[in-house]
Amino acid sequence: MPILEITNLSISSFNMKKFLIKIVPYFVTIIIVLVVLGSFADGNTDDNYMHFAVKKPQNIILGDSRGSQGVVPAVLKKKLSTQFDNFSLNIVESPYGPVYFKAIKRKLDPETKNGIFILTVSPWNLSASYGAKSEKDFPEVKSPLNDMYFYDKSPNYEYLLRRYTRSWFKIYTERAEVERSNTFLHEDGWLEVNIDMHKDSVAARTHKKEIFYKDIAKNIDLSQERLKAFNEIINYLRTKGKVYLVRIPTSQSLTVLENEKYPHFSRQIKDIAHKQNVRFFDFSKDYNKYDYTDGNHMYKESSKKFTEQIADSIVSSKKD
Amino acid sequence: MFSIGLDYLSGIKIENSRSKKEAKFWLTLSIVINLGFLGFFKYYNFFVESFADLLGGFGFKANVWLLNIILPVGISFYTFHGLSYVIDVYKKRISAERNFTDYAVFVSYFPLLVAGPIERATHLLPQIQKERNFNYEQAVDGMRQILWGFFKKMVIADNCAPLVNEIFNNYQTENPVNLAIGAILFAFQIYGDFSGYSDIALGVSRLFGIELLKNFSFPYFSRDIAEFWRRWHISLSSWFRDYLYIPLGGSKGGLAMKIRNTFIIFLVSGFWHGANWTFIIWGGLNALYFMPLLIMNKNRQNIEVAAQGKLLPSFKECLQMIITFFVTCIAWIFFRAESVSQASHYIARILSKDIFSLPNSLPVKTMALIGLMLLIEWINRERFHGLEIKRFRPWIRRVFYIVIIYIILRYANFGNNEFIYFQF
Repeated sequence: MPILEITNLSISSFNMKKFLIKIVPYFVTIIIVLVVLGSFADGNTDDNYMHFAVKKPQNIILGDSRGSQGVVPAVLKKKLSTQFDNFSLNIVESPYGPVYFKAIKRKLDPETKNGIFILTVSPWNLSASYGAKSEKDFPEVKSPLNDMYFYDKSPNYEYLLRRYTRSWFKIYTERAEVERSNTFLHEDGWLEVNIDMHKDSVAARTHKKEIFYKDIAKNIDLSQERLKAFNEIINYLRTKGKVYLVRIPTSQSLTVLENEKYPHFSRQIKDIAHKQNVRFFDFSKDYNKYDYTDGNHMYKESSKKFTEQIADSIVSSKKD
Repeated sequence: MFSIGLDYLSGIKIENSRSKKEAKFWLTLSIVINLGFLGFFKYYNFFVESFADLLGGFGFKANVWLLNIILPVGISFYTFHGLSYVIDVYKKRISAERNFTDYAVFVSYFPLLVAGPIERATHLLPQIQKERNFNYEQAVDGMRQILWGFFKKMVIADNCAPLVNEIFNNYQTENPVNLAIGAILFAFQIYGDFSGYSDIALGVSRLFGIELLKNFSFPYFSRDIAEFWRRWHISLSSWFRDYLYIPLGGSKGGLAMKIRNTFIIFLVSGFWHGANWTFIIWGGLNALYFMPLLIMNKNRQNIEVAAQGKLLPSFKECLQMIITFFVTCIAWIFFRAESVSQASHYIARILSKDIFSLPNSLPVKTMALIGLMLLIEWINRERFHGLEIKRFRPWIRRVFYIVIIYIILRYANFGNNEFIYFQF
């Protein structure tokens, strides 16, 4: 090799070393700052983070946002003397389907033997739009349930890197210790919603929800793919414990709307329960017993009362 | 790959041609096929739909067959790379490239494949061919440019985007002042997005020892629309100048020819951005802005940067910059709108008497960040990029880096925000 080339090469490698030495501290500092900020992630971070940052549970509650707000694991723990985790997200991210099934397998403690599994059902979380031709068209393919690998890491940097879209400084400045946000996700997976319950506000939100559901009712129907996955989930969970199907009540107006669109829904779920040899608690007719924040979701105090009703039903079903 | 293979072969065939006619055949073949691909993938639906609409206007109903395919990524950019190469070989500005790998790297060079800058074979190919050694100064400045690109994209563009979307989606009910704010924010969104991408692409290339063409030169400090177009998307403007405006006769003919050619390049430039009348009107509007300067032969009066060698601009310069910025904002409304009627309604609502009312809310944080960007770019407006701060002492530079990094971490939007120009 000519001397000039060797000289050029050594100057070049010296320069690159100098360059790397200068820029590495910046990258290291950024990483340290992000690691520290991420360590403050909690139930305030967003409405899903805590689902991926707690110990794998043996008793689980499944469903959509009705389930996530309507079933309180702490109440079940008190009544049934065992720890529960509410793994319900929302209608877009956790309707029953292959994605949710895959996530449940990852979420559940593999050692589970005598678990209690509460599967909350509504016509909406077993429906799909007419345009969805295959599983790939389901909205939950974009859910964290589809691409998350770690479900029990705290802090869960995988979740934060993949899913957290705000500045990481907000994890620190808006942490629960400073002030709880209006939607606070408890460690046990219960989504506590603090919202103005003045009757006018509730009526306005309920009206909006009715319009929303009337609108989507035009484009969706019960999905065979979802029902198949639902059956597979029940089958899978039955090998690990007791399965209970629960239909959560909603406001009268939404119940009427649901019954118009899906007149045989409870019957269909009852049939599935019968075939699978599991219990189905249909509380849909109890709509007047509870308060709702928007006609669709139960108010937190009602959720506690309702969860007691579920627990009582489970206890009495065991006696049968 | 077909496009690369075709242009590579065409270049060699043109150079080996024994007659002008043969060279012209290969040039024409390459141009037709390249533009054919671009036309098919990008403009087929537009032409078919426009034709069907036209027939509909005469009372005929046409059942048209539309393409339902994803536009190949970066097609507008690599088509122009390929075209510039074969034209330059034909014009003997460059020798045909015999090394297929080098040629393929030139066309598909990753930092600029999806959103430019649109490179010239005469500029980039020689850099790919030669052996490169690591250059410390170049790499450090490249890192600064990357940092500045991230700032513009993640802090400016991505913070403007949700506000702009909200305002444009609700333009029928928004307060006129808010609509004006929406248009201004979009001007900064597209600047932060596109120039941010260009800075990142240029910076990354400089780490490899490759200098790409400068694509932006502080366009919002322009004092007239001609200066704006010398500073905005420079690689596209100069491409159209060299491969369309000059072959059409450029400014050699009379005033009528100059006007015709100017309109052609602005309209084609608009059409290049997308198959929608909004882009064509955006181009046409810019051509109209340009006309008074062209007719009065004042289109080259502001060649140097504003307030060169001074700290602050004069009152006149300030006024010129503000006026230029506002007229570009009006044109940007067409660029951003979904349809011509949306853009027209949007502008009509801005021009209503309620424009003097108070805005519903002011995006103070975003405006402060935009102000910071403008301040830093003003300080560096005579430099290659917005964060070229080599002239400052090391500790000042470090403070700058830390502050910029902090602002990115603190105020950036970390969602999956694609670059606007990826769609072109």
